[in-house]
Amino acid sequence: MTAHARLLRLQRSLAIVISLRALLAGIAIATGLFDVVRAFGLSSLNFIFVALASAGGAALVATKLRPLRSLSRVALWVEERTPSLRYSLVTIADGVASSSLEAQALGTPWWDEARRAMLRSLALPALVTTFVVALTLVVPIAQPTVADQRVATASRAVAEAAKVTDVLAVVHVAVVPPSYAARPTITVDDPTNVEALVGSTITVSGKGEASRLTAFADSATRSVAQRGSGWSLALSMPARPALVRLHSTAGRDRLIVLAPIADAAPAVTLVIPAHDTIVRRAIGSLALHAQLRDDIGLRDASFELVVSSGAGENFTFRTTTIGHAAFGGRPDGTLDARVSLDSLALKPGDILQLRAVARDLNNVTGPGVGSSETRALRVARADEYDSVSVDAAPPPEAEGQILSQRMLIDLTTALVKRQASLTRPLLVQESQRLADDQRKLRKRVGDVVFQRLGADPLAEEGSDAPEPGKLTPEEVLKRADAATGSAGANVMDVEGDETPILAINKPLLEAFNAMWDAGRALEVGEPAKALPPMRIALAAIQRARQAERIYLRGRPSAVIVDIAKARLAGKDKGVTSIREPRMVIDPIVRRRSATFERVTALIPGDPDAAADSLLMMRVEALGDAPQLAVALDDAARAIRKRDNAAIPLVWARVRRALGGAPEQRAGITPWLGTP
Amino acid sequence: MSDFVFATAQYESGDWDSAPLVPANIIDTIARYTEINVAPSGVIVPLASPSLFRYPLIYMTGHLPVRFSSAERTNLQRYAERGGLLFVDDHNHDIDGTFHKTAMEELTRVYGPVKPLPNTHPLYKSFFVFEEGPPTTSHELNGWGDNLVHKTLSGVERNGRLVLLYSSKDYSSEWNYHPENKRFLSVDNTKFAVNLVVYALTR
Repeated sequence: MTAHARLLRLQRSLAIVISLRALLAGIAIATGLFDVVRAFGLSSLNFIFVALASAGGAALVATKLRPLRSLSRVALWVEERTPSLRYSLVTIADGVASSSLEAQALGTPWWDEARRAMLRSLALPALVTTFVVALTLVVPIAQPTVADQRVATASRAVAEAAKVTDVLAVVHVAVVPPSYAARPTITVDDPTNVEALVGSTITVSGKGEASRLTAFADSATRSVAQRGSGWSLALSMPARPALVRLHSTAGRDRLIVLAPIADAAPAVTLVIPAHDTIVRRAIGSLALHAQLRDDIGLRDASFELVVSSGAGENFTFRTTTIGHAAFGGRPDGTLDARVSLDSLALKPGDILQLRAVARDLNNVTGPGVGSSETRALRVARADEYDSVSVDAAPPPEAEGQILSQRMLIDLTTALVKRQASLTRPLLVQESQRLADDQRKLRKRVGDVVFQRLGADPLAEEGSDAPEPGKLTPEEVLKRADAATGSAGANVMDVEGDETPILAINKPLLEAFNAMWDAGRALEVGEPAKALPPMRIALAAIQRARQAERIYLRGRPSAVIVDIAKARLAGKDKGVTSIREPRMVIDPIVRRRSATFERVTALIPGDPDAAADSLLMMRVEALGDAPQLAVALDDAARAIRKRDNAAIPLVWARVRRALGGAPEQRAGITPWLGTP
Repeated sequence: MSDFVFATAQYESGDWDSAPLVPANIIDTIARYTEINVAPSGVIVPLASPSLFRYPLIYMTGHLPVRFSSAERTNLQRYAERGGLLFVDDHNHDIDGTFHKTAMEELTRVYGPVKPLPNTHPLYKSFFVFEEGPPTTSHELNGWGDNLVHKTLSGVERNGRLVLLYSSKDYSSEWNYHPENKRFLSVDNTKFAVNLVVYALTR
């Protein structure tokens, strides 16, 4: 072996020795410090310092490896211990090759001395380490301090709690929609809200023991099953919103809102026929066309026909369906059919009502049934002479009077023509006969007028006094004028014992008074003077008749109740004790607003509780206030995320959804402009 | 303006005006037994009209099939939200009749499920006390219609008060006479109408 080769071997050996020394130093320091810690009962945290110190000591020793990278330094280390080499080894290490140098370098066995030196350098560290390790066995272990016990207890509690917390640490929800919906399963991680079709199967799961968990759905306990290493809770989406509360034995709660999505009923539009129709004869056929649409799928549809026959209190009905069609779950479609009017044998006055009806596939809460607008086809009655679109009305009473008045005019005109050929007594006799007829007719007109006025029937029946009660015709007319002249006032109150006057028929009042003039003229045998007021009366009745014609539908005359008179007729009285004033504000809105204000006050101290309260409010609001429910969900999310920027915005949305109108504060001028 | 105006519903289908004398009769009864300021004549209100909201109580009757238009449904829903009371009476007095079937179908669409009203409901004590629930009509006793004496009325409540009252007892026939003829009756059969009005105004 050459001197250079021996030098390289020594270099490697020195590196190993120095590494061993570093290791022994580290062990010795660590063991020694550990003994000190144990002996004095110091906190367990000091072991960190022990580890750092031992690592530092080992690193310090290991710094001696750095000079070994140079072979010349290794040669010098040998030359220092063997001076007889006279730098021959250093010269060889520098790369000079010479046989004389080689002989000189190998002439002295320096490698034996180097080996001994290396063993000596390991002896002390090995002894120290052995001593310290031996000391560890004999040093008594100090009792742990109170602080240490506390730390240990806390550590165990944290570990235990961590183990328990894991039960609710991660929650998965799998939603399987009802089979009729043919929709895929949805999986959601850590949800606060689950929206699904009513009847969907919901599986809530997590890791940990099921025995550590209690589940409630709307305050009813639900069983939690163990599935392998995790727990599982099976639910069905209810028809109404519900709150699922998961409570762990560690005292933690987790809320999940079940928000049902209702399967909408099919939307049906009847395109043909587009309008109601009235026909004289129901013959031929009628085309029907409807458009159908559903959010999930249509099952079938048909046209529904109802035929109503009869009048007054006696009606019969026939119901039938035509054009049935199946859609096999398609979301939309059309429905066509033709109805034979001949086969329905519709008679005058019959009404055919038709509509399209569709059902969806919902076999959980349905089927949902949707229907179109109803169209009516009516067969006109034969007596509908003026308009086929209205029911015939009995002729108003004025209709009968006009014939009589016209006949009286004809008779009076004939009497006037014969007047020259008649003696005075005969003329007066015939004229007074006409005056009697005129008075009777005037009484019938008066009955109409005074029935409408709400007064007693004419007191003049069987008497010669023509005045209506205490009022002269002029007074009646004056009051009627006053009443009709004021728009919107139907009733004119009269002082004292007079009844209210309803001035809805001024023409009849005029006729009533004109007849009085005509009757006076006929009474004294002057038929020619009676004709002008008789014609005035006829014209007035004609105007009244035309006014009545406004009510083409045949609505009977409205009965006006004499309130003052009716009040006097009451005999027994009811009880009033349970009457309560109505709430000015919706009590539900008021209660929700108060709850929301309490939740708002809860945010600074316990935001999680505030979020839970919002979720509980959301469950209640889902049924009747969907906009509020959405806003509450957003508010709860914002609180959970501690999103301070979003919280004011969602808070304002919640307040708007609660229906609170902005308050007008004092000092701010209300805006009075127009857009 | 009077505090209370009796309103009759006019709907597009059917014979909504089949009992024209009922309003006057009820108005007479209100004036007879209560101090409520009542208008001497009633009004007719289309169900699709916004003027519906002026009246706390709406009376609806008829014999023929009832098919609400979408505007009528929407308006009625808003009317219910605002606390109005719709009183529907089957003029056929026939639970197998078309009015009953179609009206119940439409009302269910608008109001939700219609449930029997217990005979202890405050409606029966709001003014006169009807210990046995709704008063029986002569039409029921005479076997008119479905030949049944209906023990209860039906209805829908929201926020603790009725928004829909449905009757199969045919009060429309029972009360459809001129109020002047009330004097011929030994017992006034329209007293229950007072409870209706008082309930609508005070609950």
